[in-house]
Amino acid sequence: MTIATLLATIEAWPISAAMRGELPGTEWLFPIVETLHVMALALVVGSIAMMDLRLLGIASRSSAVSRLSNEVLPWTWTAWTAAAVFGTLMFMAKAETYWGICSFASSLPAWLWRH
Amino acid sequence: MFRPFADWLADTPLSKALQDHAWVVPTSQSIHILAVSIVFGSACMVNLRLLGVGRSGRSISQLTNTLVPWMWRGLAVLLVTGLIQTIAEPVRQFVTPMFWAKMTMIVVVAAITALYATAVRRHAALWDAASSRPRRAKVFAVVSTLLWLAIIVCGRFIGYTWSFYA
Repeated sequence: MTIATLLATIEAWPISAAMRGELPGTEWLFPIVETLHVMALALVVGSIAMMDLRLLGIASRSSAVSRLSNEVLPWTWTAWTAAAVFGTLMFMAKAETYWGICSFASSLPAWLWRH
Repeated sequence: MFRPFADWLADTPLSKALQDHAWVVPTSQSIHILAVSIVFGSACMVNLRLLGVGRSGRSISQLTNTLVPWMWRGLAVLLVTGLIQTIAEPVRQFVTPMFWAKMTMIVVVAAITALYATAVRRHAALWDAASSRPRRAKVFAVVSTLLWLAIIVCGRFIGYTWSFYA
């Protein structure tokens, strides 16, 4: 199976059609999922920023790094999971289009590189 | 009612200059989202702590005194980038009821956050101990979280609904 047929298969799924608002009652699904995606994204970046600023010695210097990471990282991963689920749903709506956009193509390697 | 003002603003040299550079609005929006993450992330940390959810590493006063200043810095960035976007695309903002709902909620949430932070700074010991913590702590936590969520929803839906009103 080539990438092109895989992308076409994904786009043909009913859930992808729903994400495009093509099924009755799903007109607002994409905006709702995108809003949830933004909220999750805000928590991912916000919590990582707290951790990074602590590691740089700029903020939260009164708490130990280990204490802060125990406190913050579970939320980072929870929010990351939510952002990934909502992001995948949005991708499925127009898989072929998004695959062709280079900013999406670079966001996956960028994430893999970080871990 | 705000349409004539929006049309006038869109016609000013400053707005035209911003519209002429296609990178300005997307760049400003990206910075806006990063600032949302600082403000919303900090708000969630403080509010979840007040509600007793999650691991309690730091005391309420430590957490509040550390994070609330970051919320003000983030909010300042939000105001500047939001202003740039409003000057560049005034019609989109001013005709949409969600824009005005968003602005109202920002004023309310900023006011209650300022009151909360002042109360914690003045009576740190009282707020740190779960037994003596005022009951309005949980009310603040719930209301503030709901307001931030509603502000994000309104922000996103300005983009989806403004064309219905324009």
